Amino acid sequence: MGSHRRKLGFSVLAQSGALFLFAVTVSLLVNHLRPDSLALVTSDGPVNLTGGKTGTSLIISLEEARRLFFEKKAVFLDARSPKAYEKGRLAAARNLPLGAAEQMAFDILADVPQDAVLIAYCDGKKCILAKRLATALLDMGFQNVRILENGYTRWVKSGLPTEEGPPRNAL
Amino acid sequence: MDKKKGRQEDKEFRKQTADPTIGSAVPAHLPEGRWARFYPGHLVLIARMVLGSVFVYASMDKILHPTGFADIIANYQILPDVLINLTAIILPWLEFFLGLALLFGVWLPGAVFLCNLLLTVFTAALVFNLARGLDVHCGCFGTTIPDDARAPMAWYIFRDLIFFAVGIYLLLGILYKILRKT
Repeated sequence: MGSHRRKLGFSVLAQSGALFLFAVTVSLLVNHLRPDSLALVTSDGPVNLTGGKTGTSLIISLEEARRLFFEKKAVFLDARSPKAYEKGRLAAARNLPLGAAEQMAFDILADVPQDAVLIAYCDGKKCILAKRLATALLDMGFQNVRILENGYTRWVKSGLPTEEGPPRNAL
Repeated sequence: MDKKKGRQEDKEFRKQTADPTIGSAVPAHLPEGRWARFYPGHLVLIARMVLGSVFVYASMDKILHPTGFADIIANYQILPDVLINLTAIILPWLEFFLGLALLFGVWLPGAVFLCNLLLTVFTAALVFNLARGLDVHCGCFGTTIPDDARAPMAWYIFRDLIFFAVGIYLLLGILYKILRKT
């Protein structure tokens, strides 16, 4: 009857809560103890060069990116999925999807000179793939990493060169 | 007076007909119920084993590679950045304990409820991204992205729906035992 319903409802809530709390406790503890622990919160703003909240931002302006593009001093890295990359990208950009950064970065950037600027971009004002890709690259030891926020849209809007289709140089 | 007697009878009845596959939070009841034939003990056990194993198996790689999983969550572009890492850390362990709970028959009402909740959220996220044309790696069972051997999103959704069906089956089994009484 009603009391059974209430009892079940209470059981569900109590047990769910307990399971959740248990998972939270164990997961945070394990994360804290493991050598490759994940930061609980990534800084929600400009990422600085040494990782933290103060310092120079990694964000690059469209004008600066455009200059580096035409001076051929930068390599643009598309942080989106291969499908999005093939649909349309900055001209001569290389695809380095966020999830594959660790596996592909060294291969993809093998031929890039040390002083070249690596500019990560994705699409949309809320897109965080480029920022995370930049952080991952920094962690891997790459230098001169920058982020072009809302890269693809702004690039297209400014009428700058784009391309589409499969990557020109198969890697 | 009646209440006390009712509770004692219920306790007795529970002892005699306790269904070990559902758990003691739910009193066993009249076996000739309308839906009882859909819940023979062995079928419930199989459902629990299947869903439990899926959850435990699904959690393993994600527990081992939280960074990779965080990348996958980021790719969905649904959660705000501040929540991504926390989710990548906590969610796999939640899946793991839910799987264990199902396998060992511990805290089943809560576990089944949470499993269904998670499956709903996962399926919704996949469908949402399919609808907006965003190509995402499921991240359901692992964190490494095979180069081009990725299955179409429709397959991920189909697979999720199967797990979902098993989850709903168990959920209804738990609910039915109570609703039946009213």
